[in-house]
Amino acid sequence: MLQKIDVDYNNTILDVVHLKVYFPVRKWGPFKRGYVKAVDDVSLSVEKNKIYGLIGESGSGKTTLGRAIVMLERPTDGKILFMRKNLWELKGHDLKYFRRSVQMIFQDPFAALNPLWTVFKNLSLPLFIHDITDKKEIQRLCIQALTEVKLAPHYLEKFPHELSGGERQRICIARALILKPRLIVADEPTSMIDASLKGDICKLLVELKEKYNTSYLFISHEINVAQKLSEQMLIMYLGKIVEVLTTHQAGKYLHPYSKLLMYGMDYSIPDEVILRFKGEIPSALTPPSGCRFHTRCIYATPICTTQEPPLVEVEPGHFVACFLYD
Amino acid sequence: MEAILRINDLYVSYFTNFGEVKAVNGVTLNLNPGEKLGVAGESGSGKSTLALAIMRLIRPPGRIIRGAIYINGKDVTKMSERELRGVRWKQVAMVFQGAMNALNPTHRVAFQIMEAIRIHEKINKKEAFKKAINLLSLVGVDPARAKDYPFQLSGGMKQRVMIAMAIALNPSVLIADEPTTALDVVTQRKILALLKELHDRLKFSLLMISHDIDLLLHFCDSIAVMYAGQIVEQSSTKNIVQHPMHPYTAGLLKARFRSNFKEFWSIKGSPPDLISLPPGCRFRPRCDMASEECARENPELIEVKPYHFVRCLKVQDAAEN
Repeated sequence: MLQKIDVDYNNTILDVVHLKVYFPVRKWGPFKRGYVKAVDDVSLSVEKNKIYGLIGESGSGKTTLGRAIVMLERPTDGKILFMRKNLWELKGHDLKYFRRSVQMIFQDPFAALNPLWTVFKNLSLPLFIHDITDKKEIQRLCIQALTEVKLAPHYLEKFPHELSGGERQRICIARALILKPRLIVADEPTSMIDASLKGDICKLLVELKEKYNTSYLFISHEINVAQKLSEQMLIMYLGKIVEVLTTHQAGKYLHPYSKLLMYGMDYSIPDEVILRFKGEIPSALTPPSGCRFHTRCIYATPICTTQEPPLVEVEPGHFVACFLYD
Repeated sequence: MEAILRINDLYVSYFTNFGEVKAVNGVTLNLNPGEKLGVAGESGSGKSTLALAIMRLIRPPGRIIRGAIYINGKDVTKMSERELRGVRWKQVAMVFQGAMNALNPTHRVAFQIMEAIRIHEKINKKEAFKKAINLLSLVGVDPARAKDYPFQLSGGMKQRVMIAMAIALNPSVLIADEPTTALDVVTQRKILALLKELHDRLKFSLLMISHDIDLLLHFCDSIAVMYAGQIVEQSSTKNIVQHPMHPYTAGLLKARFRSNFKEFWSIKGSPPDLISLPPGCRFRPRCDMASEECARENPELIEVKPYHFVRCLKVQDAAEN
């Protein structure tokens, strides 16, 4: 699997080991319980100074994986290792160091900022929490963070409602950056932003990565945007990672699901090709047996319905979970 | 050819506590029978307000200030509620933005389609139900799901139900307001394919509103680009793709993420505040070509080439010389 046998801890920020996040739901009657298997046995390691693109449709569990990495979701099983220690066993100073090292940019910039606070207060809260109390220093860091996201210092006095969507998302990025984290989980940072401004936000993320050597986990449903942005792509379907590839292999998708996502973005592909893939993403409460994609796949064979395909390396750095390439 | 929907110099504003939000500012638009016209624009460009105005669904503090909307030759803005009932849904139907929330969560989907039919046609429940089932299979929803509640359906299926409801009375004009936003990429394409198929079969005219110019280029015969409440460019899809003339249209095309996606690019600045619009051309603060002349007056929408309307002084000057 993705898990390297001998992990280079100087280069690795975070390791996700066989992570499972299940949400319990009551299913027809008080004694029967079911689970929404949002993330089901996912392993990956996040290295320094790299952008990872995590792609999938809604319901594929990509957001849950992102939230688990920033400790907003407790794993049902498996671990997330930060500096060789399990996240949920971190205490005191270590925990605070983790919180400082891993930050998140949320999907909706309209909901992620406190509307009653000025930009300055929104930006400086992380500094207070991490014991930077010198007023001049706070001011300096806030202005610096604003400059990084290409906003003028006078924005500090504004309230979120005075800003446009693009500006708000920049503030959110500034807030995530202000503590100089090692990893930023960006959950669809461009999905709520106008088409004419999306490109700027993406460019900004790349620029800031170069400058601070921060890693990103870029969560998106737009496969070609992620492909442009990231060095490694992870394609997720119903809680499983189905394909992993590096960007210089990009475009050479092997898994039928990755291909479908790519076709969907490209209007030069005729509708008939897409219509051959039947149905929509099934409920994660009752995932299909065998390969989870077999209900929609046009290449499905009998073996796909009974056995789950393992994630195998087809060429260096390119992993696919599909019997077609076994 | 007589246009089926004619919008003539329409002004719509919202009178809020902060001032008058000029959402639609002198829009003139014709929709010919059988045409697929796309309206492109960012959020806040007034495209949804335009759609609601056609259905006369603008609620206070919003108001249609002046202008006329002719549907099959009759002015909707001057109709009484009673007359409107004969137009809404029967002649103009709409697929609303956000299929997730547009259905009533407390009623079964078949009931909601039947309701729309039975308000306009005097038929009994049984016939209406049969009609609803037919409509559902027409849009590709398994008729067995007719007695499901909206929460039992996926986003794509809800959107299909919305489309079934919209075509229930065989309208001559269908307005689709962002019919595919909030849906997954693959589902989006399937919904578009469905709309295309229905358009070919039922021959309605379609006004498609979207912020996604790529989608409109793929789907529509002609495109009107809106910016800050005004149409800044209108032409056939082919002209828009090959020779965009307004700098905003050119920018939108360059900022695309889908077809021809090569690098990240954005139009600088952000859309203006509709309460205090900049003097002169509204796109001027974001425009690279802008000069002093552009600040003086807002240019008119002029036909610079056959069926190619542009609202830009520079382009108009260049075309004259």
